[in-house]
Amino acid sequence: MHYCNVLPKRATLRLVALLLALAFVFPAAPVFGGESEPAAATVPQRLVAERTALASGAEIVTIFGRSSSGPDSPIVAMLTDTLGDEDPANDQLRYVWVFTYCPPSLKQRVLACIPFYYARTSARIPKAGATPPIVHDFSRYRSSAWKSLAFYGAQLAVLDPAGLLVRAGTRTYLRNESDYRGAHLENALSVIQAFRKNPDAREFRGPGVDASLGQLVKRGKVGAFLGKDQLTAAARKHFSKSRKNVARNWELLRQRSEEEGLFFEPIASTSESAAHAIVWVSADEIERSPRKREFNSRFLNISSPWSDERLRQWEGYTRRFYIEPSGRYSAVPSDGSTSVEMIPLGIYGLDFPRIPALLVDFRSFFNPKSREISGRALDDVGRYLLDATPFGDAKFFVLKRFWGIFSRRKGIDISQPTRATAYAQLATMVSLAEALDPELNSIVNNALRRLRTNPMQSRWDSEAEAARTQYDALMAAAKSGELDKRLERDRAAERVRLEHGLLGRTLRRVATIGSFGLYRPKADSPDSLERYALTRSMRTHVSLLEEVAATPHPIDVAWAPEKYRESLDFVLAHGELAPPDLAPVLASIVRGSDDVETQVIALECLARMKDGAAHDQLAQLGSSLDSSIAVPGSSSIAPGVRAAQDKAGRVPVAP
Amino acid sequence: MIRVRWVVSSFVAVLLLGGWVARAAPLPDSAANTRLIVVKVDGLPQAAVDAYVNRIDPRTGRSVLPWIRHLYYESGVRTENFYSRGISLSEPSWAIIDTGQHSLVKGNFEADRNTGDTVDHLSFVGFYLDSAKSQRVFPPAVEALDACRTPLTSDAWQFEDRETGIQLLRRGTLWFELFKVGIAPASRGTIGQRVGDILIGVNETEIWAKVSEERFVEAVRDPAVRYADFYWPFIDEALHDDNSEASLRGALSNFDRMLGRIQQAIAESGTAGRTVLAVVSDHGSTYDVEGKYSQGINLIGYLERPEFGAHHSMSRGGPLANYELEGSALKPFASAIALTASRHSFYLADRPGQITCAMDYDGNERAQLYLRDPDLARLQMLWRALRAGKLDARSYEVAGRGAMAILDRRRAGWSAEAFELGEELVALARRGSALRRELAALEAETKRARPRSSESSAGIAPFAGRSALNHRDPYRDLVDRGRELAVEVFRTDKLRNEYGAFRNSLATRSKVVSVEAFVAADETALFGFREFGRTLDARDLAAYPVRLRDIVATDAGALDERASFVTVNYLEAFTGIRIRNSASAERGTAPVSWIVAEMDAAATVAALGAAGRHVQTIDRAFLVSADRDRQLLMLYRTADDGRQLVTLAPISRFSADSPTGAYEFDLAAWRSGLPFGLFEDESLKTGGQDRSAWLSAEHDLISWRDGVHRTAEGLAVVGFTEVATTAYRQRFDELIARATQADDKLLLRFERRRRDAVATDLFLHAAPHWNFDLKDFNAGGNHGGFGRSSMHTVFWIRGGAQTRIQAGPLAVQAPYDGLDVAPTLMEAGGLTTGGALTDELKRGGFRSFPGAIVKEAFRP
Ligand SMILES: [Zn+2]
Ligand SMILES: [Zn+2]
Repeated sequence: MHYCNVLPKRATLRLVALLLALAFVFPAAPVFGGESEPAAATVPQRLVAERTALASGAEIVTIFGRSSSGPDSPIVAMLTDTLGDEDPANDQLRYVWVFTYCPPSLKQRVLACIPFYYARTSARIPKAGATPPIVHDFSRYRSSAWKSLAFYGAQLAVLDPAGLLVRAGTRTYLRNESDYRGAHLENALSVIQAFRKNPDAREFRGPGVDASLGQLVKRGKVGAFLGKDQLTAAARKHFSKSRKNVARNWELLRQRSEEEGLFFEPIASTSESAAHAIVWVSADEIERSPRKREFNSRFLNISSPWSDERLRQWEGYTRRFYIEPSGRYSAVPSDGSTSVEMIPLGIYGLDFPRIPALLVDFRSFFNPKSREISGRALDDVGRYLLDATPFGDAKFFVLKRFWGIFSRRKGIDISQPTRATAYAQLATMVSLAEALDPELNSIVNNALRRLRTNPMQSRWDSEAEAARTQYDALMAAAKSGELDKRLERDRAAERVRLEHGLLGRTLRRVATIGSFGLYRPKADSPDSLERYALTRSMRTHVSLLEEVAATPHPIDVAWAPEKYRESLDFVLAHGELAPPDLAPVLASIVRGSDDVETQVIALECLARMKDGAAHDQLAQLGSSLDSSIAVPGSSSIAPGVRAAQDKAGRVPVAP
Repeated sequence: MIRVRWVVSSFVAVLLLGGWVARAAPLPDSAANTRLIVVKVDGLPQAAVDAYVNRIDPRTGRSVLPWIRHLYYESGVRTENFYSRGISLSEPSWAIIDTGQHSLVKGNFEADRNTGDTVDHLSFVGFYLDSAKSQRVFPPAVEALDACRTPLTSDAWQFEDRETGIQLLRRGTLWFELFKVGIAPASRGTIGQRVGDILIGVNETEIWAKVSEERFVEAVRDPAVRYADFYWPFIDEALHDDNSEASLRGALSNFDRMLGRIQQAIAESGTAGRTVLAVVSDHGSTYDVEGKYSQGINLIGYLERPEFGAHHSMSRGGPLANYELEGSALKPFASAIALTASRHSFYLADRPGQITCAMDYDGNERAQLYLRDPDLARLQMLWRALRAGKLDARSYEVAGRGAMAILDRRRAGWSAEAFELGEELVALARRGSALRRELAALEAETKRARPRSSESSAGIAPFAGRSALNHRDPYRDLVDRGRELAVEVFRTDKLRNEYGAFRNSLATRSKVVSVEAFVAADETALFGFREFGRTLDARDLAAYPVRLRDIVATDAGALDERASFVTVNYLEAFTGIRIRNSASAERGTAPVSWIVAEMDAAATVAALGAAGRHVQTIDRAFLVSADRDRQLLMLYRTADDGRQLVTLAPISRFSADSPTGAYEFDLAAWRSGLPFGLFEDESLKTGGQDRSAWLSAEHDLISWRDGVHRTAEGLAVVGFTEVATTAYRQRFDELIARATQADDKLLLRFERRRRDAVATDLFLHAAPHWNFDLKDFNAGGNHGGFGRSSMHTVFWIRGGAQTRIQAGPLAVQAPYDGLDVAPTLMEAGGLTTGGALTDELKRGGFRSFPGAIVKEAFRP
């Protein structure tokens, strides 16, 4: 290694030995200046967290939207399973609750099967006391993905051939279900992402969090094929894509508004970058403009404000804005600014691919709804009637793609993905009172209620109430031990999976069924409990070591040995639990580190691993040495190094 | 257990003895054997690196950018004040960095004023398509450099000794790599991963990065490769698209790890002692803190408007020109040129193909405008009025006289140009036939020849072969020369066609001697659809004719041009744009902060004299204007020793309205608020002199750079000089003087004419946080302008014990810029000594560099 090839090798070693020795005398001090993570930018804390501990060793983090007028509104909660111990390595994210997500009633489920039924159902508030449904279970991601894949197979094999009615019914139901749940999950995702910037969001900042959030991005069948890296990439791509979408649509809409003489006002929601914007028109300007004034509705997708008689006698909501001496529009007065009365025209969702989507048209509630419905109907015709997939009716599939491209190019927002998420986000924002003024707030609320197109959704006016009710129920379940039971059940299932192979599990499953449930597999001996906790820790340590091993050599440039020492120590202590694929990782650390002590421990880890792969790696490492120097024995070990290592109790003395 | 212990302890012994085979120290080597590895990273702001490199990641206990820190902050040499030369825009900046010669490529998009032919230098797809059609072997910018016999630094190594990655200025194509990217999702990783990759959508750029890095690492590992470079576009992308903290940090971190892998590969090659590893970037970026978007305006949209002249325009066909959107199946290659016909056109509504303006505004913070020769505009308006038959007899007569007056005053110039061009086209025709003969002979020779394994030679032999690719293997040389010739044949024919049409329209116009002939002439024969003609000066721009108002006669009965045409003042039009929808007050409402237009040198001297300041001679003069009150003159003079000297003079109320056409302005004092913001900038270094006195004094460019480099926008002085430079003309003149064949002289003159033809008329600089981009809306990072953050970038270098580079760590404080990179790398790579070029290099087309070697980087 030429990392420090200026010095002769022996001198280097002496230096290393000295440093090692010193390291035991002095507490570790940072080698160079610089703080740790920078404090999050000082943004107004719209989101606050509440933490609730569970007796079984878990913590629920509930994220609230802060409200200046009413009580804070609960939005989303996540449960972290800590096993009740001090070891953060075995902590694991488990459940997500989205409080606005109400389990659909039977009536809603039935209505959700009717193709082309795009209407809301009557108000429904969850029963007080009913524990809210877990919207996402992190530890069951893969298995539920396989389940839905199996269901898809059944759909293709059994339901689809059973006739148009069955095909359309089941497909409509699945689509409504996934749209409904997806909208809430994505809203939760944007809330969590915004919350991550809070200084006290510690549990959402670890290295594995992106992979977990990736599960919320990639829902359904796809999950069966995605690994940790792909999920991490998916989450990052999602956040970055969303920022890009917003940035582009912000500019698209701002520039269009400028050209049409309108006023563009971005509205900040929970995430600090605005995901919505309102377009206004000045009442004076309407009066001044001829009715024939040109209006290009491209991207705006509303009718001309200049020719609209209603706007000339507008009685509805208006707001004062200010024109600064420089000509700039502003929401707040400043020196020399003149006030101007503005009429709202539309609210737009910015987090949409390619072009913004009209969410609320203040002059026609039917306008955005018809856009949403026609987009969906077009989609549904393909989905249910024509089977427009690359495998089904390919002609229709291609035609639809072309229509999508064409309409977006023309700036018509019909082929946009469903607005459900944007509505859910807008509703969250409306629930945070300070985003809009109360009057506009209630107008938007009203509009949102009328804009529903999914029979599974409950009415928006009950949302805040529903969220409160569900939050209270969750807290009650946490107190009563009901949640502990659920958690313990999930842990037990994982222990069984750990203790018994697939065959054993199947046999036991058969036994359980055969004995009418009298026989239940048990894996709750103290041994089994400990092994379970250790295995969970091992997973974390292995993934850290994998990360270390993958860095360029010498590893020490990018990793201070003490930062992964704990993981090596853990493997050393519990080598028998180490998975075989750890062997090449350890070998790579031996090769890649210039830190003698690290190399020694990594070698010891390899030696302790019961696995054949580990021994192969050791043999390979041995053959890559220059055998002429490979004298067994410790006589040549520099005294300083040995002293340091003796102190650490690590260097085994050769026989 | 004993066995385990034995194994471990024997390992320990070996470890402590340093017995890893791979760690054996490399054999000492001579400096002439130096390997040069260059990592070219696009748009890396030095400030972004500084913000992260000293920050410790609590997870790893090391710097957030550990490799950068290790390689260039704890050892090695970095220049702390390194800047783009010219505009902070990729293609022009790389063209300077890669050649070490003054700016020749003027923008990412260039139009030929004579023929309207355009090139989009950033169009990778365009180049590969052309290449597939055998219409190009090298990207257009490399063709332009070759025409001026200006080699790339990498040309100094023979083909077999070098490995150049895909980048803007590169010889040849890498089809096989593209193929690998195409099949990557189906060929890499486990089955599950492949399915997953396909399902979540293949990240082409990531695969691209992997494939090209693999190729680079392989080259670095191979001790026989003497020069390798690698282009890394991902930081620039992250800054443009999504400048969130997470994205920037992620992009920097990926870059950092890549450097680590390169360093590892150098170590594995066993050549660390004789390897130089340099990192260089073309520009910085003005990136905002998260949550702020920079704002854009659509300049083409303005040019369509009546108050801006209602132009039919031409620009780089970005996906968002005219709010066109990307990803259309109908228009897969967004790089095609975009033509925009104005709905409001005053006199060309029925002729949307008649382009009257072109704009390169793919530069985010700056745009450059081409406008059609105003005389052509006047003539065409008159021709149409005469031809329409709606004028009364008196007006017809006056209009006819007006047209003849214009024709008469331009006739000499046009006919001279047509004559010269005629000569050049004949030479081009002869060259075409010669090329065809050569190609036939070459094909025959290639058939006879057999591939031979390349013999290794230790020396460096630029252009040893016949092909520009400079193979050591003569057979490969023949094959590639064949491809180059085929393309030259194509190019020659294309130029003959395009320039033939241009010559015809020049000739047609210069031969019109009567109103009758003028009216009878064909419109297309008189006015090429995309002919822009000569460049415009400040006078033309102050009153550009856009519409025929009325036929107004002077007392003498001639056409009163000033009264007859409605004009637009482009010196004020763009800086006068105000935006009502500006998301924050600090961004202001004026997107264009200042413009620059060239002035007639003699008229400027006269006007300065009239205003009370007497100057003797100036070579060139430019007007920089923020508005009528805040203006600067930039005056250029060449010193006896050849240095270019620049003087700035604050003025106000520039006009060219007087009937004589003379310039008029008031001299003004230095004050704050002037373009470039020099007077008020605390960072201006005047060496103790009074600020006004220093700013008013004449300085060479080195002194300007040293004085202003820390100011917010002062680098505009050096930067704009580079934009406007015609230093390439000297090179052409030298080559013409040296050429022995008459045809060669003519062809060089022709190439010089073509280079002159990409000059623009008006330079626009955006206000902070505004941009003119049309590639996409930029959420955050922008560059292209002369702001320090856009100009300030990185140049780092480190070398093994046997190289000439200091061990470091060393942070060089003296300012350097893009012109200094090539001479420094040539010296570091052992190609030059003390900057002296070997005869071999001179034969290869290399000539002395105008830039300086970063001398601090070298061992004494
Ligand atoms: Zn660049
Ligand atoms: Zn860029």
